[in-house]
Amino acid sequence: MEVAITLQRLRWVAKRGKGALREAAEAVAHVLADPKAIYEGVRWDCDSDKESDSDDWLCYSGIPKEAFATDGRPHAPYEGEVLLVFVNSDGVAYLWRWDECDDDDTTAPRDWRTRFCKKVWPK
Amino acid sequence: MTTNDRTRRILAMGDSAPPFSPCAYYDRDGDFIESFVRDEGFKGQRLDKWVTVYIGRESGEIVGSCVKDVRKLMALYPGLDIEIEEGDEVALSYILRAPAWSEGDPVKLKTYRALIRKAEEANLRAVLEPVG
Repeated sequence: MEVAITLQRLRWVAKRGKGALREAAEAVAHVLADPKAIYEGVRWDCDSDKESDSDDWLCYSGIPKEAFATDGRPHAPYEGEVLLVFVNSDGVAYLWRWDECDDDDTTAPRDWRTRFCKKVWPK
Repeated sequence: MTTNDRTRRILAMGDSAPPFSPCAYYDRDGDFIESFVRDEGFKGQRLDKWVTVYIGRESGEIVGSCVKDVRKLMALYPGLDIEIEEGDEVALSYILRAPAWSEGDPVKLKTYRALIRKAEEANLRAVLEPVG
């Protein structure tokens, strides 16, 4: 699936300066191209039935080569964290952020088993 | 367009960006409101299924938030009495009151109160758009 970032989103990201823009242009692109895991069911309701409330929105989890300071300077990725990129069913990467990794799996976000409907890659 | 061209064009968007000021933004592709009260690197800390709090890497304080499934949230809490017309602006503090109202965990409730206070102090408002 081809994934895109909207111009509207990039304009919003630009309000937070060079670091945020480099994250969008480089780190997000890295995670989309080389994810460690992909989860489905970003919006499923953990209080209800998994199957009936699942959706096909995706969360890519990965560790890019670099993270970026607010002024745009690159540095090593944050230890114990993964960069999550959320993609809707239209193939739009609408949100991304660094999040703590799971205690048992440093390539997965914390509580991934209860946050998402299922892991779709790797199976 | 090559990867380098694309990267350059994205980075160039920062050249004309004004200095940071507290802001909120509704994203129709993801149906969420993201907000920032401080320009600082952050990491996400999931509060519950509705809200992720952004914690500043240097200050350790709340620097922003992301409220998900805004439409579902408003449908679940009609008492919010927010009807969305194209281009309507809504105070983030109103939206946050819905999940806060149903939160039973006192620690999370305290975080919600801090988020609402910051949203009010910064007068954070987002322009909601109808989906579809």
